[in-house]
Amino acid sequence: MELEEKTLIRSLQKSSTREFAFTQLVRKYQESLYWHIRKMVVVHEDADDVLQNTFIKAWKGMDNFRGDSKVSTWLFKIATNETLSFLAQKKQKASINGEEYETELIAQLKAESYFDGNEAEKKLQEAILQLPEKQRLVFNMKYFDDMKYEEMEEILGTSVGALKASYHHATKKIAHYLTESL
Amino acid sequence: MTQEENQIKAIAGKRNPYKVPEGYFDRRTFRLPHQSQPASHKKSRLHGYLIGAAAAALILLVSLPMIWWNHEQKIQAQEEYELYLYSQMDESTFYDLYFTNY
Repeated sequence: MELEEKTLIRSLQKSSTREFAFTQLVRKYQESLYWHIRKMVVVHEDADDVLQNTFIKAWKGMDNFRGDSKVSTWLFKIATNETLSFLAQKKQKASINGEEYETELIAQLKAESYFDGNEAEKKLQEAILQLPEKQRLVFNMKYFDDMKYEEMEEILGTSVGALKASYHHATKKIAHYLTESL
Repeated sequence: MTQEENQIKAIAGKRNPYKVPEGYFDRRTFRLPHQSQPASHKKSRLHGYLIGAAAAALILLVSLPMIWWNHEQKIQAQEEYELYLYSQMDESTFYDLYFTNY
């Protein structure tokens, strides 16, 4: 564990320095967490809301953080859970209205103003949005963020073997979709 | 890297195509839960406490004289009852009772 990380954890655990340390933590991790969420929820405003909830959960659950794992792992875990709950709520709402949430997500991607991808990048995102949620998470974390399987195992609570299999299936589906649609 | 991964990379690359509003990460501020309570909420809570305190004071102000009056009435009734009892006694019973109790 890096010295900076150790100092941060110590400051988070002390009530007198907690607030300041948490502000530093937000500054340090907000961008990577935002992108992790954004690739899943597509819309900027939704990502912003989920990110805010992630930090609120982290702040409230600070006493449960013992410092056994890295701060980033702990935060990514919270952000993943918040994202999946957000998507579950949206899915439930869509099913009440008799719609498919995946279709809605693709429609949102097409309408999203904060997206500047070319045709191929758009198709790639469309293909990703058709994957099951866990597979989407695994693909994004591996393909775009080059995250190690061991870290993903801690965040997602899935074994390395299962993650590798999930990534393999995801790449197969996406490659097939891209070659078919372009 | 697998064959499929290479294929995806060749077609669409690895660039993140999403973007954020200009200066989003610089402007973005996180307010801690105890800080994020709007000022109006704090004001309304304080307002609530003040109303509660005023109502309690008013109740106390109205009920105290009533309690006192009720207490006085009880004492008067007791005295009248005792006087009635004494008036019904003959003199020797009265003195017997008086010297036993005092």
